[in-house]
Amino acid sequence: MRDLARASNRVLVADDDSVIRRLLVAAVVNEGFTPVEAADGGEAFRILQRDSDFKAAVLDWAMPHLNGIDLVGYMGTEKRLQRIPVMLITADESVSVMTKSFSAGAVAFLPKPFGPEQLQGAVRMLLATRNKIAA
Amino acid sequence: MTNSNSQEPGLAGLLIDAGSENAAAAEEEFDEDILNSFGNYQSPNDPDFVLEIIDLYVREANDRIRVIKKAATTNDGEALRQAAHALKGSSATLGLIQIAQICESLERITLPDLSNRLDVLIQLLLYKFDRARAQLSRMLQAPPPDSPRV
Repeated sequence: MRDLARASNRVLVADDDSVIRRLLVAAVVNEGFTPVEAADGGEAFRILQRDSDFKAAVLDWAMPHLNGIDLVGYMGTEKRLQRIPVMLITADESVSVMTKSFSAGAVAFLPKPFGPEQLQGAVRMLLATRNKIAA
Repeated sequence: MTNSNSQEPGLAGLLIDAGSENAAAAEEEFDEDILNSFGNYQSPNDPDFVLEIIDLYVREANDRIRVIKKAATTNDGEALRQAAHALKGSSATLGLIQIAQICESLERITLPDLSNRLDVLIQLLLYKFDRARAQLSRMLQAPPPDSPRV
């Protein structure tokens, strides 16, 4: 079935670092979307268990309780979540990390540190991504 | 292979800086332009964005440093690595490069290096954070310059 095509205005933002999370929220708001914040991987997981109404998700790679890459893996197992494009963020720019991100199903990757233009460009690109087609 | 006597070039510079108070006092701890560039996100609805980011950073860094110090005393390498990694990301993003460099060294510290370098690195981190916090406090007193919107 083609995406569950509700034009959600909400973006899940999960990062345990309050500074980075605040920057991500500002970038999402700047694009006219509504952020839904999670302070760690566990909270993001609980949100995703009951809510799939997201245009996109921005997840930190390394978070307490559950990593971003684990969340991407979980989203891949749930049909209702598979359509949500995900961007992973990490301070590790190794090819291995990038490869794992895309292999797991992420559609974008933002390395830290980033500047405001880089951040905004990445979020804009993520939000312009068509919803993934559910398997 | 890790050489416990080696220092990364950047870290060696920091150690020299830490030992020379006159030289350190004469220079700014970090480039404020990077932090101020996030003023792009200020708006009439969010006029104090950069100040909010500074406040969040100082709180977050205090918490991370507390975890790092505790992890060092309890030999909890994983907690040390996680806290250092987290502090590295926000510090580098806001332009506090020297703190990010120290965190990277802490993140990569290996067992043979623990006794040799951990105390020095933590002392250096505390020293650099104190200086950065002083500069951040000065920034809180003065509003950041206007920045173009992203």
